[in-house]
Amino acid sequence: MTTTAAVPTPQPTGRPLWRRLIGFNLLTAVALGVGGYYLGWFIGHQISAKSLAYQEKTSENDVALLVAYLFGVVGFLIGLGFANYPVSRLLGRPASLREKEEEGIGRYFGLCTDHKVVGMQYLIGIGLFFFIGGVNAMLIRTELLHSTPTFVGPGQYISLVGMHGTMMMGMMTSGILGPFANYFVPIMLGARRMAFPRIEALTFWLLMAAGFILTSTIFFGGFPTGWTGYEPLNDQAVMGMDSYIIFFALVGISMCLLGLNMMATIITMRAPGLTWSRLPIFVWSVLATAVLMVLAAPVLVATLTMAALDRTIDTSFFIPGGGGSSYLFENLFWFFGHPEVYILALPGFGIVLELLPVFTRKPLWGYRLAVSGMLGVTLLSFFVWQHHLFVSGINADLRPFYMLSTEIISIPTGFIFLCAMGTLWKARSSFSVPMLFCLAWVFNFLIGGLSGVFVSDTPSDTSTHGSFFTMAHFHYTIMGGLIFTFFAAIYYWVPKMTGLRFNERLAKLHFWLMFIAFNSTFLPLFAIGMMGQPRRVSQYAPNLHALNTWVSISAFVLGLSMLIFIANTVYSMIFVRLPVAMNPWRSKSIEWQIPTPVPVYNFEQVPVFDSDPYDYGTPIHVGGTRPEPAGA
Amino acid sequence: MSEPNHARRFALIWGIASVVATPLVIVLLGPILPPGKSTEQAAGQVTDNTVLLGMATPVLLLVVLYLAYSSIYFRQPKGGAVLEGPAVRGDARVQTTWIIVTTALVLSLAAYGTARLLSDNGAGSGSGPTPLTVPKGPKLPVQVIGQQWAFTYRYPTYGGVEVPHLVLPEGKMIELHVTSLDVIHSFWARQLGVKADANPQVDNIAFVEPTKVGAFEVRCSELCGLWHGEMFDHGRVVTQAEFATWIQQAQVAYAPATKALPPYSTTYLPEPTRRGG
Amino acid sequence: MASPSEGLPLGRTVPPVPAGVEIPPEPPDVGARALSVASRLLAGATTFFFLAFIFAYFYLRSINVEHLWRHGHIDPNQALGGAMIGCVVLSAILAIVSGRQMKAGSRSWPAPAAGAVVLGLAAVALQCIEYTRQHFGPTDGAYASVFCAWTALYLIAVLGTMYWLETQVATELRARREPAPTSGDIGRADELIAPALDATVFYWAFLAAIGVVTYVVLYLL
Ligand code: HEM
Ligand SMILES: [Cu+2]
Ligand SMILES: [Cu+2]
Repeated sequence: MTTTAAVPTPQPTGRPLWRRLIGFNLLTAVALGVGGYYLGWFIGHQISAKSLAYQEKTSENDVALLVAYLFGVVGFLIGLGFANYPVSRLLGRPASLREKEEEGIGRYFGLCTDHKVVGMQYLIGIGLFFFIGGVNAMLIRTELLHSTPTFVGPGQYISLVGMHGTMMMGMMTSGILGPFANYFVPIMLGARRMAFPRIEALTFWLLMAAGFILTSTIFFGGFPTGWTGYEPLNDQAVMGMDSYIIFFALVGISMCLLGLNMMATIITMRAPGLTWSRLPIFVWSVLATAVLMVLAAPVLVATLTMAALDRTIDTSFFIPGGGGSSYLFENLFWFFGHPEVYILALPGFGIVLELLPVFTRKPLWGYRLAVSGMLGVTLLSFFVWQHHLFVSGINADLRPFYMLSTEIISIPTGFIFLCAMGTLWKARSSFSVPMLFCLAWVFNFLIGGLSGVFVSDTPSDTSTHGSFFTMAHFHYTIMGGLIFTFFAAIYYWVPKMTGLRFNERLAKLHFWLMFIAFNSTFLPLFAIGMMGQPRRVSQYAPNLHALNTWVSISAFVLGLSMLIFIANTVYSMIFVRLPVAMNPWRSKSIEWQIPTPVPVYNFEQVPVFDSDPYDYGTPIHVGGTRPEPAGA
Repeated sequence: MSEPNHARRFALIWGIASVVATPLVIVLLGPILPPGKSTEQAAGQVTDNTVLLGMATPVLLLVVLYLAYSSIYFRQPKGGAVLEGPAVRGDARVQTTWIIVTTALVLSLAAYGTARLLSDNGAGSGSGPTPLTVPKGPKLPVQVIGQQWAFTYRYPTYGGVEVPHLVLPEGKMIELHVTSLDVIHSFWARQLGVKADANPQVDNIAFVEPTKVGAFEVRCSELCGLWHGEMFDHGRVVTQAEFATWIQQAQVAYAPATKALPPYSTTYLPEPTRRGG
Repeated sequence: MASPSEGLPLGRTVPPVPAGVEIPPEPPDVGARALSVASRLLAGATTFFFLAFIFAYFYLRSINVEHLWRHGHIDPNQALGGAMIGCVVLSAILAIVSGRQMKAGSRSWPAPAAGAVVLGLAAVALQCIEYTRQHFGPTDGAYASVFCAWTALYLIAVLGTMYWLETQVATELRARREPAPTSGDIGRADELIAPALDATVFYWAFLAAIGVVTYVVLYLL
C-alpha cells in the first residue's frame, strides 16, 4: 500500500463549535481527570476507613490522595483518547500507527501522533514547568537575602527547594530528548515517524500530568525531603509527599517509555546507507541517554512504589523500627539517581558536538572517540552511585572503589572535551548565538567537572558534601551543561520548527546576560559552601551574608535573562514573524535540506545516505595535520 | 602560506601560564583553604584540597586558554564569502596521548585519594560501624545522637552521661559514634573536618584528633525536616586538664538525667512513632 | 587554504517527487523489527524493575535490623504458591508452543495462545486467593513487606502481558472473519500479527523466568 504525497484529510468544515468540543480532547481530559480525582478520593477514603492506620492519621489520608492522583491521571489519559486504541486492540481490531487527529492548531492540544507536533508540545510544556521551577529558584534566592528566615517560613523554604529541585530533575530529564530528539531524530534517520507514535504522545501527556501533580503539592503541605526524598523523613512527611511520589513515578514511566521508543527508532528505522558510523553524533547521544532511561527509570518507579506502600499500608521497607533500612532507600535512589544526572548531561554533549562542526565549518573531530566517550559514560554511570554516600557510613569499605569508578568516568567525559577542542582547532568559527551557548558549555562543564574531582575525592568530600559547594557543582553541570545546550538547541532548531527567526540582538543579549549572571551566581557558591553553608537551610552564618546577597542579586539577573528570552520568543515568533532562510546555518545535516515547515511525512522519498553529516571543510593539508579517513 | 605555528605558540602560552599560576595558587590559596588546621583530619583535608587544586589549575588553564586562543585566531573573516575550515577528522597521536595522560591523571588521583583516606583513618568522614582502618593507641569514645532537631552527646566511658554541647579534649584521638533516633541527620563539625551521617539503627564511626583549643560549629547537613536549618550549635576543644574537670562536673550535674536514660548502646530502637513532625 | 562554501551542494539534498507520483511505503519489516527490539528493551526494563525488589530482599535479609526480618510464623502458603508458579510456567510453555506453530505455518496457534492467557489469569487468581489465606500482612516485618509488594507488582505485570497476548489472539481471529484490512499508515496490518505474537511470546517467556526467580527467592530461600 502506498501513500500519496502529502495526504491532508479533508477539513471537516462547518462543524458547529459544540460538536467539536465533544469527543476525545483536552477539555474532556481535564473533566475526566478532575472527575477521576474525586472518584479516587472517595474510593480511597472507603478503603482506608476500615484500616487501623486511618484512625491514627486524622486529617491525613495518603491512601485517598494516592488513589485520587492515579484515578485522575487515568481519567485524563482516557479523556485524551489514549484508551481507545488499547480497547480496540482488545477486541481484535487491526494494528495501526496513527489516531484520527484534529487538523490545524487543534493538533497541538491533544493526542497527536505526529512526532513534530509532539516535539513542539514538549518544548512548550517543558518550558512552562521550567519556568515554574525557575520562579521557585527566585523565591529561594529571595529568602537567602537574609541569614534568618524572614520571607517564608522554614517549612515553606524546604518545600520550595524540594519543588525547585524535583521539578528541574524531573521535567528537564526530557528537556532535550522530549522536544528536539522527538522532532529531529526521525528526520536525521531519514524516517517518517517514531517507532511507536502513540507511546510517544503518551510520554508527553504523562509528563504534563506529572508536572501538574507536583505543582499541586502546595495544596497538601508541600514536602520536606528535597528532590532526594530520603527515608524515613519521607515516611514521616505530610500528604504533599504523595505528590512527589506520584510525580516522580510518572516521570519515571514517561522517561522509560521515551527511551524505549527512541532506542527502537534508532535501531530499526535508519534509512538505507545510514550506518552506525554515519549517525549524527546527536543521535548517538540520544541513544546513550535512552539506554540509561530504559534501565534506570524502572528502579526509580520500584523504589517509589515501596515508599508509597510504606506510607499507606505500613510496609517496612525503609522503616528501621519495622525491619527496614534507610540505607536501602539511599542505595536504590542513587542507583537511579546517578544515571539520572547523566541522562541530564549526555544530550548536552550531543548538542555541542553536533553544532560545533556547523559553526566552525569543520568536520567533527574524533567521531569515534566521541561515540566511545558517550557509551563509556553510559556504562560507567551504573557503577558509581555510592559516591553520593561517602559520609553516610554505608559500605564504607567500598569507598576506594567508588572513588576510582567515579574518577574513571572523567576519562570518557574528557573525550567529549577533546573532540570539542579538536573541532575548534584551526576552525573558521562564526559566533552565532547557538555557537556561543556551545562554547559556554565547554567552560561551564569544565568548572563542573573540575569541582567534581573534589567531591569525588572522599577526604575532600567530607567537608563539601551536603554543602553549597555540592550545590554549585551540580548547577554547573546541569544548569551550565544541560540548560545552556538546551538554549543552543532552541536558537539552532526552533527556526526550523517554526519557520521563523529569532531577533539576533535580543538573543545575544540573552546569552551574555545569562552567561555572566550564571557564573556570578554559582561561582561564589563554591566558596560559600566551603565556608560552611549547608544545602537546604534558610539560616546561615551572618558572615556569609554579603556573599549571599551578591549571589541572590546575580540570580535575579539570571532570571531577568530568562525574561529577555521569553520576550524575544514572543516578539519574534508572534509579532514580527520574519521567515527564516532555507538553511540559515549552512548546515549539512539532513533536517536543513527538507522544506520548512517539514511535510507531514517528512520525506517524499526515503533518502539514501552516503556519508555522515560532517563533510565540511576542504580536504586540504593545512599546517601539517594529517587528514584521516572518516571517523578516525 | 604564512600561518604561525599555532600548536607551538599555544603550548608555550599554556606552559608559561601553568608554570606561573600553579605555584601561585598553591602558595596563596593553599593556606586559606577550608576547613583549617584545628585537627589532624582537617589539616589532612586542606592538604588534599591543595593537591587537587594544584592539579586542576593546569587543566582549567588548558581549556580556558584554548577557548580564548581559538576564538581569537580561528574565526571566520569579516565580510565576504563563508570560508571552510580544514577537513581534519582526527589525529590518532593526539587522541592516544590524551587518553594516556587523562588516564594516568585520573588513576593517580584515585590512588592518592585512597591513600589519604586510609592513612588518615577515614579523614574525618563517617566510616560505618566497622571502619577499615582504626588508629592505634587509646581513644576516647563519644556518641553523637541526632534527633529532630538537636544533637546530644554521650560519653560511655564516663558513666554514659549525656550532654547538650560537645566538649572534646585536645590532643586525644576521639572515636565518634554517630547515630540517630528518628530520621537521617548528618553531624558536621566544620572546623574539626568531621562529617558523618546519623542514621537510625546505624553506628557510624568517625575518628578525629583535635590539635588546637577553641570553639567549633556543629551543623546538621542532611535535610531532616522542618527545623533542619535550626539544628546547629557550638562545641569546644579544651585542654585535657580542663576536660577532666568539666566531665566530672557534668557527671554530677546530669546524674539524675543519666539515671533516666536507657543504658548506653551503639544504636537505639526508635519508638515506633510515625508522622512525628 | 580554504574555499568558500557558497554554491557548493549542501550535503544530501532530497529531490522532490513530481506531483501525483506514489510515495513508496516504508520497508515492510520496520514495524516487525521495532516490535522485536521493543520487547527486548521492555524485558530489560522489567529486569531492572524487579532487580530493585531482589536487592531489597537480600539487603534487608542480610542486615536483619533488630531481628525484624522474618518472624517464625511468617510463611507463605506453599501449595498455592507452587500452583501459581506452575500456572505461569505452563502458560509460558503454551505461549512458546503457539509461537512455534505460528512460525511453522499452522493455523491452529490461537488455541495454545488462548490456553496461555487462561492459565496466566489463573495464576493471578491463585495469588489473590493466597493473599486472603496467608497468616501475615504487609506490616509484619521486612520479609512480609517484600513478599506482598513484589508478588503484587509481579501480578500486575502478568496481567498486562496477558492483555498483550489476548490482543494477538483476538486480532488473528477477527482477521480470519473479516478479510485483511489495510489501514492508512501501516501497510497490511495482518503482516504485523506474526511479529507481534513473536514479541509477546518472548516477553512472556522472559517474565515467566522472572516469576521463577520470584518463586525461588520468596518461597524457597
Ligand atoms: C535559574 C537558575 C537557578 C537558580 C538561581 C537556582 C538556585 C538554586 C538554589 C539556591 C538551590 C539550593 C537551595 C538550598 O539548598 O537551600 C537550588 C537547588 C537545586 N537546584 Fe537549582 N537553581 C537554578 C536552576 C536549576 C536548574 C536548571 C536545575 C536542573 C535542571 C536545578 C536543579 C536543582 C536541584 C536538583 C537542586 C537541589 C534541590 C534539593 O536540595 O533537593 N536548578 N537551586
Ligand atoms: Cu552520582
Ligand atoms: Cu538536619
